[in-house]
Amino acid sequence: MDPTVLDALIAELGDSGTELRAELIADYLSSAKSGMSALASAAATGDGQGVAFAAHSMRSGSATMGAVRLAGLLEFAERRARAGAADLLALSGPAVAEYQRVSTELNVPRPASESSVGGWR
Amino acid sequence: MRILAVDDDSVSRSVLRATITSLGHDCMLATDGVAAWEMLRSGGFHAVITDRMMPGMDGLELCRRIRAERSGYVYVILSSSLAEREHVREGMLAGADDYLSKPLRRHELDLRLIAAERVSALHRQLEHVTAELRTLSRRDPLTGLGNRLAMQEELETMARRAERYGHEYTVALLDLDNFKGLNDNHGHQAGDRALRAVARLLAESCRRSDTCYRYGGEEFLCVFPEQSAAGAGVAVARVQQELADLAIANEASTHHGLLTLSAGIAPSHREPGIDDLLRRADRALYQAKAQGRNRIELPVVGMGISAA
Repeated sequence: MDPTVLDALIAELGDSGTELRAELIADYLSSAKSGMSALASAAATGDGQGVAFAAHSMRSGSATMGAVRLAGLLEFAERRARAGAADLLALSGPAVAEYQRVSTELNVPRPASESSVGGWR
Repeated sequence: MRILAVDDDSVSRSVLRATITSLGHDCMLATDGVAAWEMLRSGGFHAVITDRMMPGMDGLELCRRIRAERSGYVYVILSSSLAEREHVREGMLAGADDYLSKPLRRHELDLRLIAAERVSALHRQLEHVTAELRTLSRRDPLTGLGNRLAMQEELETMARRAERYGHEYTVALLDLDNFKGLNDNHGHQAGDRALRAVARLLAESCRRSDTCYRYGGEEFLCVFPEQSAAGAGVAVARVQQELADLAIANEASTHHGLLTLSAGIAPSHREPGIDDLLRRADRALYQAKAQGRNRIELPVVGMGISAA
């Protein structure tokens, strides 16, 4: 996770921070949870289009939150799935695992001193 | 500007709303292309920022639909993390005006919305001028009545209705009697004043559904939807009487030295041919003139009404 990405966005918007940050994190965790389920089940059923679509739909949100590694894994999964890769579980697995890490980190309250515009929650 | 932001991802929607609002614009949100299209149909949006990949109607389809079916111009910015060259081109060909890569940066959106505002203003100006020109091109500048072009368009519409639904209508061709004499004796400005006065009488005397046009020179054409020839004759007789009440001097007139008018009336009778209809009205007008002027000639022989 790169917390400076979300910090920069919040600062850019001139928001006091706490409210928008909390809203974005809640939005992200809610949509990514269902997105990851869709990704995992599409991979399990061999649905390449489904993998590509689910990966795509979570990619920019992950990048916005500063989940840089997850965004990279999703981009890779999307690209490979579009190209017709057969190893869909090998594409979705790392992304699902990385999301677990990201969601845990986003759920942990962040000390105010770590950010110039407020904590995670 | 009033901007519609369309994205199936809730994080992107929240970021878009916060960014657009922080730039001083109004923002409405839609979760997919179908919802966006419904909102756009109600009008009032200057720009749309839409994600490219969405379930149901995607951003490309939304662009195409906006360009194909909307009359007013809406500036479209397509946003996507697929910023490769071929996707950008595909989006622009679908009707987008600009392209934005995700994740969204406030500075980039700001620059694009500056262009959007300028282009939207130009389009609004163009739409206004086009509507103005359309109105002007169909109006006679002297009398303010519709001109030949407007008349032709209405007659074509009436003819189609008559042919398809049997909706009959009647036309009356009016001509100011001895108008040349009025111009010669009192000058063209007096002639213009007389034309304007008659146009005012026509506009005020006819029913709201009736329309009157300046046919040319000192001739006017009135269209009476769902009206019989006799009914149209009564309406024109009323105009004749009101013209007599105005008592506009015309020494060339044989009717008390006052300006009068003659009229020829022709009903459509499910007859779709506009040229034939006008020819019959013109023939009736000729008869009215031949029989002493200040007359209304109906289509049946011997049914002329004299206002003298």
